[in-house]
This record gives sequence, C-alpha cells and structure tokens, in this order.
Amino acid sequence: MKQTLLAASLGLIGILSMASSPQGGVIDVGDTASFSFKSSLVNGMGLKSLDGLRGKPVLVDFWGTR
Amino acid sequence: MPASLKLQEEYGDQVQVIFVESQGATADAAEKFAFQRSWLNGPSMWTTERPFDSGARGLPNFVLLSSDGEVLLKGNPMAMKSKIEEAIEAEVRKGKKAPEGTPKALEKAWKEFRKGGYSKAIALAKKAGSKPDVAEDAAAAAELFEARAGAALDEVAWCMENGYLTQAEDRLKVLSKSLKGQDELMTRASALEEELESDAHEAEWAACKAYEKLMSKVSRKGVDERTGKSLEALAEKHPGTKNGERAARTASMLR
Repeated sequence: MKQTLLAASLGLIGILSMASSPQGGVIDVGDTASFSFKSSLVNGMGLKSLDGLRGKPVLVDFWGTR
Repeated sequence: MPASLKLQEEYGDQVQVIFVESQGATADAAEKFAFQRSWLNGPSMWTTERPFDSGARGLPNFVLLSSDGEVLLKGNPMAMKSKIEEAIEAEVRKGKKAPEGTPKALEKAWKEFRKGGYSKAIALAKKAGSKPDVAEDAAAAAELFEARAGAALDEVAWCMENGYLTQAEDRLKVLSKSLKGQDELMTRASALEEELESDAHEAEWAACKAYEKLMSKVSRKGVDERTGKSLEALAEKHPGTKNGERAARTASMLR
C-alpha cells in the first residue's frame, strides 16, 4: 500500500514538473534552430524570428508557472 | 530568480535569453507571473510559443544556440551553469573575429562589422573588392553589412512606433556615429533623430519617462498592492500613448 502511494506521489510530482506536450521534432546538439514567432514576445522589441538574433548566442529557457 | 535571468544580467547584450512558458499557461498568465516577481525589467524576452522541442521533460531546461543558430548545449540551466558560461564566453570571443574561411583581405572589414562599425566595415569590404580574387566575397560582405545596418535602423523605427523612445534614442546615438560616410544610411538615421526630437513625440516622451520611472521603482522594491493603482494613474495621465496603453494593460493583468 505504502509503495503504491509512494509511486503515485512520485508520478504526480513528475507530472507537475513536466512540460506540456511538445510540438515538432526534438532538436539536438549540432542542429540549426530556426523559428518564426506568430505573436510578439514580451520585451521582444519587434523580434519576429530566431534568425533575427543571429550574431549573438541565444539561451532558450523552458520554464513553467506551476 | 531564474538562473538564466542572472546570466542575462551577467552578460548583458552579449547574449539573448528567451523564456518559454511550457506548461500551457496563457501569454497573459505567464506575463503576470513574471511581472509580479519583477523578472520583466531586463532585456530577456518572454513567450509561450515553443520554437522547438528540447527533448527534456523536466522544467526548467534550456537550449543554448550559437551566434549562427546552432545548438551548442542543452539540459538543466541550474546544473550546467559553468558549462553555459564557458560556451557563451567562447561564442563572444568568436564573435569578435571574422567567420571561419573569410579571405584574409576581408578580415579587417569583418572585425569592424563585429564592433558595430558599419560604415568602416562597408568601406573596407568595398576596397577589398578591388582585388579580383575576393571581389565576389567582398561584394557579399558589403551587402550583408549594409543590410544589417539597415536592419538596425528598422529596429530603431520599431522602438519609436511602439513607445520605446529611450531605447530608440540610445540605439540611434551609437548608430549615427557608426554610419558616418554612408550617405543613404545617414540620411535615414538623421530623419529618425529629427522625428524623435519633434513635437509629434512630446506626449509619448512624457509617458515613456513616467513608465520607466515606475518600472524602475518596481524593479527595486517589487510589485505591491499600490503597483496596479500607480499603473492605472499613469494610463489616465497619458492617454493615447503607447506607454499609457502598456500601463493600462499591465494594470488590468494585475487585477
């Protein structure tokens, strides 16, 4: 019983910290990223695509509000 | 504070951090969350659109792209801070030089370009173009430098249209110096300067200064129960301005 509860709790914690369903294929080291944004980014200064940031490194941080 | 926000602070405009909310929150909910924690006051960008799948299922996770858009690293930003810093520093060092494979005759032009010296870069590239063996590369380089200078002016125009007048002014100051000698580009820059200083932007300047002052206070002291009221008051005092609209929107987000 305790093991079942523990497993269920761990599963729930795992789900809570997970991202929502991904879209598109997985990007890997060595791949080139390209993407056009459909809507404005907050503080985006009019940025329309990742290509607009070529010339400096870009750190994309995936985070969650929950 | 998220580790990546600290990296943005540490490296300033040498790197661009983009935060992607990945648990299905609406754009407003994500913005409100970040605003309430005073995370929005720097140059980091925020979106709910996922540009790609990193493959990781835990949050947070990151993908670091090179200056050319190539994936360099991915993983947990908290666990890989020193690797991220090393990779960023390597990119910054690389970014000061000409791209690999650049003909020697064009290296100076590229170094100028990397420093933001558009006019010098264009002139050096055109001069190098007199040598037949690099003529094609030189023409391509000059075209690229001109296009990037033009894009930088487009960004200034965008800032002006959207009420980011201080950013427009700061960027123009730097750009104007770097464009001397390129008549067409200088004419564009001068026109933007004139417009920025004209009466047409008087109301927006007042709203912009007020909004920046309020955001600076929020950044220092955090969001509190008076922040919403202050934003509403700012919006009322500066109707018809982009900064007034921004204040009204943020106030309604906080309700």
